[in-house]
This record gives sequence, C-alpha cells and structure tokens, in this order.
Amino acid sequence: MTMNIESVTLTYERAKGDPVTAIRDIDLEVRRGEFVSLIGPSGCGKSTLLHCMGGMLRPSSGRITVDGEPITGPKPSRAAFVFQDYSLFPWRSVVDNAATGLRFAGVRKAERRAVAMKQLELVGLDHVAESYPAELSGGMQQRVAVARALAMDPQIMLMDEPFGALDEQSRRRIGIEMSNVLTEAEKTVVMVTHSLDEAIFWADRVLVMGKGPGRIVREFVVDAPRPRRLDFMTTASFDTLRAELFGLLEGAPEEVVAP
Amino acid sequence: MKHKIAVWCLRILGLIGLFGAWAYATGPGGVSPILVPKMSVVWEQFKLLVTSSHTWSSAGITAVELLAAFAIALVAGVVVGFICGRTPFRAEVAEPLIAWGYLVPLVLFYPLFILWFGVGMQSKIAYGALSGFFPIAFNSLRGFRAIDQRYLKVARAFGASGSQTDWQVKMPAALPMVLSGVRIGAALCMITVILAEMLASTRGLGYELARASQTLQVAEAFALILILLVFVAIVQYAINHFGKERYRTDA
Repeated sequence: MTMNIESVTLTYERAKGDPVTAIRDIDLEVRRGEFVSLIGPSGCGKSTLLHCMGGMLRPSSGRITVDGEPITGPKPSRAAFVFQDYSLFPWRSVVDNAATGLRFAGVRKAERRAVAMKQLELVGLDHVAESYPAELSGGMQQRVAVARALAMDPQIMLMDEPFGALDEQSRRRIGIEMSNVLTEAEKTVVMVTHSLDEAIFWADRVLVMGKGPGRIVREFVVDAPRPRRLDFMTTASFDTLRAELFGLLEGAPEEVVAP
Repeated sequence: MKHKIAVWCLRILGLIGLFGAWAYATGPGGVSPILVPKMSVVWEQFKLLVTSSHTWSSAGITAVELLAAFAIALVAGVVVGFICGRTPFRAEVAEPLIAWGYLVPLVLFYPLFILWFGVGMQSKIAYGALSGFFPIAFNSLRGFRAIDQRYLKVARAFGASGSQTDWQVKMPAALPMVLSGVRIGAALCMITVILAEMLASTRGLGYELARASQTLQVAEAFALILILLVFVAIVQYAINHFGKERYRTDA
C-alpha cells in the first residue's frame, strides 16, 4: 500500500471576502507500515490535509491515490479516522460503538461483535464492552475510537490530534500504549498532533507544516526502531530532534509562517 | 433512605390535610352537600360506578379516543419534525409556524371539528391529535436540527448510507428531544380529549362528568373525578415508563 499525494491544493470559498487557501501544493508519499506525524502551528492546514487523505474533503486541485486508485470519498476500509473529540455514539454500548463501521458495511451482528471484541481486547477494554461511553473516562473513550477504526482493518489510519483532550499524564500513558498496539498491528498511520514529544515518539517521519497557505516546510526522519520504550524520550537523539523541532516551530517563525 | 421516609411522610400528611379539610367542611364546617358532598357518599358512588359496566365502557371510549389521538399526533409530529429539521432552510420556515400552533388555544377550532366530524369520537380524536401534534413536532424539529455534527462526521467517515444515517444516527441522536416532546404531547392529548368530551359529546368519562355536574349529581361528579384522577395517573405512569431515556448523553 502506498498513498500518493500529488500537488494537492484546497481552497475554501467564503460567503464574504476572498477565498482562503488552506493548503497549497502538498506532495507526500506514505508507505506501507509507516508512521507519519504532522505538526505545525494552528491553522496550518494539517487537519485539512488529513481530511483530504480520508476523502472527507475534496482537494480543489491535485490528486490523492492509494495504490494508483484515486480517492473520491470516505471509505473506512481504506482509510479509517480517529477524531480529536472521541465522537462515540452515546446510545450504543462500547462494543457496538467499536462495531459501528462494520454495521454500516452490513456485517452480521454476531460477526461484527466478534471482530469488535477482538479490537477491544487489543486496546485493553474488553472488560467494559457492555458499558456506555458516558461511563468511561476520556482516555478510555478514545481507545474505543481507536478500536472502532481498527475494526475496519483499514489500509491506513488517520488520527486527528487523537489525545489532545487528555491531561498530560494519561496522554503519555495511553499514547505509548496505542503506539505499541498500532505498531504490532503493522498499521500505516498518519497522525496530526500539537505535541512535539508525541510527534517524535510515535513516528518514523515528522513533517513540519507552515501556514499561510499550509505547506510542508521540513521533514525529519526519526531513526529508531518501533515500538519504542518510554526511555526513548530521554535519549540524546530524541533531545536533538526535539530541540530542532522546537526551534523550527517556536524560534524561527518566519520560516514556518510565510510572509 | 431517611430522606425518602421524610418525603413520603410529608406526602401522606398533605393528603391527610386535604381529606381532613374535606371532612371538616362537610361536617362541622356546615358546607351544603349540594356543593361538596360527604366523603362517605362519594365513596358509595365511587363503588357504584366502578362496578357498573357503563362506567367501564365510558372509560374504554375515552381511552380509545386518547390512544388514537396520541398515535396520530406521534406519527405526524415526528415525521413533520424530521422532514422540516432536515435543512436549515426548512427549519427556518417551519419553526415559527409550529411554535405558533403550539401557543394558539386550539379549543377555538373545536366547534369546527364538531361541524366536520360530528359529536362522536372522531371530533375528540381530531382535536386531541392536533393539540398533541404541535409539541411533538416542535421538539422533534429542534432535536433533528440540533444533532451534534460530530455524529454526522463519524457516520460519513465510517461509510453510512443516507438511510443508515437517518435511522441509525439521526433518530437516536434526536431521541431525547423527541421524547420530551412526546411526554408533553401525550399530556396535552389527555387533557384535550377529556375537555372535548365535557364540551360536546354523547359518551365518555368527560361526558359523564359534565352530565353529573349539570344535573347536580355532585357526589357522582366527585366520584367521576376520582376515577379520572386514577385514569390520568395510569396514563402518566405509562408515559414516564416508556419515555425514559435509555442512555445518558455524554455531558
């Protein structure tokens, strides 16, 4: 599986004022089994790019293909989302939430529940399968959302600031846990994040985006095998990378924010 | 637990107060039995009424009218709310109209219903259905309109078809709002049907009550009110039981 993004531009028409170009001329290749993180200042179009990859938004120009086949709309077996706000259905139990995509695809009840249960086991939530989302913590809800995406057995997982709403500690803990799960499942993942640590710790490649309009300004390769252990965050190479990223995002805004 | 006991004690105390005042008024209070009959007489009447088949058939008629009116109001209200809540444009057009229908005293139309449907059951059903329709349509409209965009986004991302989005996402998402409309609508149906029977009809509990008080059968009227109170309590219980939300929203 290879996803090719070729000179993708997305321009929004606005009711008032000039149209806004959210992203311009993005070129990117995502290869099988790779973990790519997208980081950049707010409004740099990283989430827009992710939505284009999943067929939720249509580029104004350029094209996105998976193994040569163009993306024309959402298709969860090709690209499954984990959204920032967990967005579980409060009227469905945890296992039924995890089976949501399968139900839409017309999979029979017993079968889809079995698949969903397997994914819940993977994210460590099989013991709350019959609970309702409101009874779960934010971190648990997001793990259900991960299970829901995994249940589609997608070629690529698209995660939009998946742990942004969690507190620092659970964010790190669940992040490491999910990173391991996804690595072991050999998933191809593109993740949008605000967190430098997260961007480096999870990924094989970190893409830094700049804004006005959104484009990719730098690419870093994180040269360490996955799954990684927490102490990877204390290594010198992690620190160097982090400092470089920090400088790029915070220290030299002229490079990230176009004139 | 202690709290619960206190609550029940006070409730019972309230009832004792009410019946005590009644007993005092008809006894030492010297209120005329034409205005307020003695409790014992009402009780005798009550026993007489609940053993008569006429009362049961009257109650049956009222119940059928109520059920028919409610069924029409429910289906029409949810369908109209769903259709009008589909686009912001439709909602903008329909919302003030439905709100207006909700506020208008629909009893104004009752003489017309009698003209169109006669004094039989149909006019009660029409009037009851109309008054139950507006709160159900209004709340359904708002429920369908206010569906959290996140749910629709998930539906789209996970490949839901149009009808799957309608039935598996929009319906359950709007359900709490729809149900609150249904509860109000059912209560209004009940009030209207009984009122309509009292105003002009030939049968039903409301009719019996109006006849009894107009012919100064005050004890019978009191007994009928007692029966109606039980009837209302049963309906209320049914509504609350069926209308209970099955899940908590993720607030």
